[in-house]
Amino acid sequence: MTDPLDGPVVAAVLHRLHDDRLIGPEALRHGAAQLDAPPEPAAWAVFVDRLLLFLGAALVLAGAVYFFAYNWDALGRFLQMGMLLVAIVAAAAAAWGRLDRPVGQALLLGATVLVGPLLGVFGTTYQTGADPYGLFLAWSALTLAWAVIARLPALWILQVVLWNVSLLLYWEQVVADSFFERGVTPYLLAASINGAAWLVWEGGRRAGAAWMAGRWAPRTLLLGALVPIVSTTCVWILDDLDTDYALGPALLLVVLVAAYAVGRWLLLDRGLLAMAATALIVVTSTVLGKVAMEIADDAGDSFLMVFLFAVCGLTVAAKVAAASWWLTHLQPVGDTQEAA
Amino acid sequence: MNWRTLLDELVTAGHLTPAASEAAAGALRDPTRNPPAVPWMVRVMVGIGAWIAGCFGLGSVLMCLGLLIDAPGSLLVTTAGLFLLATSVAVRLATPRLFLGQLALSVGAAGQLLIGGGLVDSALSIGGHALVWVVLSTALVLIHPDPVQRFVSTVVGISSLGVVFQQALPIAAGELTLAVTCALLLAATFAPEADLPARVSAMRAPLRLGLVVSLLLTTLGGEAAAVLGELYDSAIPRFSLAPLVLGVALLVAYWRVLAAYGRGLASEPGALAIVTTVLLGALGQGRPGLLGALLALLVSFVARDKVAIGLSTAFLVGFGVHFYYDLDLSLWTKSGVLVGSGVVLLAVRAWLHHRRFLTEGA
Repeated sequence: MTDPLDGPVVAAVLHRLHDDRLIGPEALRHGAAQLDAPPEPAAWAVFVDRLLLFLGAALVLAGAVYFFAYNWDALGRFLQMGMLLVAIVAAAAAAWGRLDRPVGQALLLGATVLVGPLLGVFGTTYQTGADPYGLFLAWSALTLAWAVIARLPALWILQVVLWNVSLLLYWEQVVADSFFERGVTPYLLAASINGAAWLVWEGGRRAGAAWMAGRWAPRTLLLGALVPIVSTTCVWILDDLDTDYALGPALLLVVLVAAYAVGRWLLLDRGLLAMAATALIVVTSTVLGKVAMEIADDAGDSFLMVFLFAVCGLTVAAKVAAASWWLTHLQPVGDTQEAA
Repeated sequence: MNWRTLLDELVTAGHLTPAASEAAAGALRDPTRNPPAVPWMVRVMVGIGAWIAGCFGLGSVLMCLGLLIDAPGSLLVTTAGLFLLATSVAVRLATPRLFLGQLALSVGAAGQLLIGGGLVDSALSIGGHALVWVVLSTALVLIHPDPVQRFVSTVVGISSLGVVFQQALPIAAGELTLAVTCALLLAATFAPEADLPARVSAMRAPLRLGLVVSLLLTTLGGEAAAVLGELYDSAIPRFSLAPLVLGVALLVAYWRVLAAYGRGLASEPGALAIVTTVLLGALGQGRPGLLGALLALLVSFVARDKVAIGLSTAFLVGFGVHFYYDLDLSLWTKSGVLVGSGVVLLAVRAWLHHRRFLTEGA
């Protein structure tokens, strides 16, 4: 259990200790002076260093893109491909040996991103008639090895994005007859891919892979799974439980159970649990709203609708209050760690 | 700094006896006297939930009014909204319990939506409407103890103040709004904590975040006004003096930050900061975006507010993209300008490393 004494000093609590006469005015002033202390010089150094690196690299990259945009038509196809290839090889080579630093990571990410335009130029040069989904699939396949070797979360998130785009384009161009006939199946498939990727990530972190310890990537993957699933479930509810959308609630149940198991028992991650709680609140609120509307419609009583609307508002408030109390008071189980 | 370290320091300095330190530690460990802090993602969830519940409540009240009275006038609707808002404040002040606090937030949200609807239907001018919201928002920031409500009221209040200035003095509306926002932001960031009473200290964090968001939105408005003014050659205010206002605010911020380390504006870091500000102001060509985002980023870092740092960085990048995109140059020249700018920044970084300004502990 986390000792509150190891938590950061907070002004409100400092004042409360003073108001409860547990500390005197001098102690209050001393504590307040500590709160006024600016960040350490080392923190400023890191901040300025990263800001200049990020902005400088972004500007140089943008300038290169504008250069190619200006000269693109004048360059021959082979020169276009050659220049992109040189940029990719140079960035990847420069990243070698520096992958533990932000510079190396930014270079490899840049090289990975440039593979896409290279494939685009290749596709327009050699008109194979392939569908666009093939470009994204090839992009993913060609850069997969870098993601495996580099072990960078950003590269793996890019891989998952490419898989999602490939799947959605494949469905639109090959399976469905038109954009409007896609239905929800490709989105649920994409959600399943994102959910599976998230579970694999958590498994890797649990197995001890240090590079998987950060929480932004698994939370992003879970969000990518939840959004389509929750949307489909809400449509299923509002569309009188149409079987076309029945996969949504089934997947929602699986994801919620998994999120609870991971976020509560394997690692105390309030971010994961907050997302799962929000998903549950949205779905149950949709159910309540639907039931309230149907009851009021059937009864033909407007005052009943007023009452039920007020009840819906109260229940949303109660659910959010319960969820936030639970999330705030959670403590790690046994020797599980708490995520930052 | 954590509590353990602070209590040890207080004992060492003689401000606390060891027994008093133990008593304070006991109070800190008691969850009934020191409830755990609410994580930021939970606060976001609470804020969204409150407004959803507020919409249900609003729908309920409006339907009720519609059923009871044939044509409820704006005065009745506004009065109903004020009643709900007052109830929300009273409940929230009376109890810190989570469910009642959440309910109070929802009722308050419904009340504010009703007030807004009632005012729209009233005979008030746009300026009068906005002035009501400035007064209401100020009162809510001062009285309502909920940090989510304080944040929302800060943003609404500053936006409404901008509308008031726009109606009263359109030629300088942007500059006046920026000046007020910057002054409040600098005060909220650099006011010594020791001089603040408990009630004011409690509103500092949500007020500061609300002011950062307001500053970013106002500078976004300035950028949009510059684009619209060029497109339509109309009387849309151009925020012409905005870089001057922001430049002065940045100088004050630099002065306060450097003073905390025993340095002045005349020192090397101070000179570098001033040169950067002047260059950005000149490059911005009268647009406030880059300077506004830089000020927001600086105060967010001083306050150690990660959410505000993220927002400010995103706006800085966005304004930078817009600046370069809008340059009236050929693609060839633009590519040179971009690469040159990037090389300058990387060279400055290398120079700072060479001078050991970016060495840890320097």
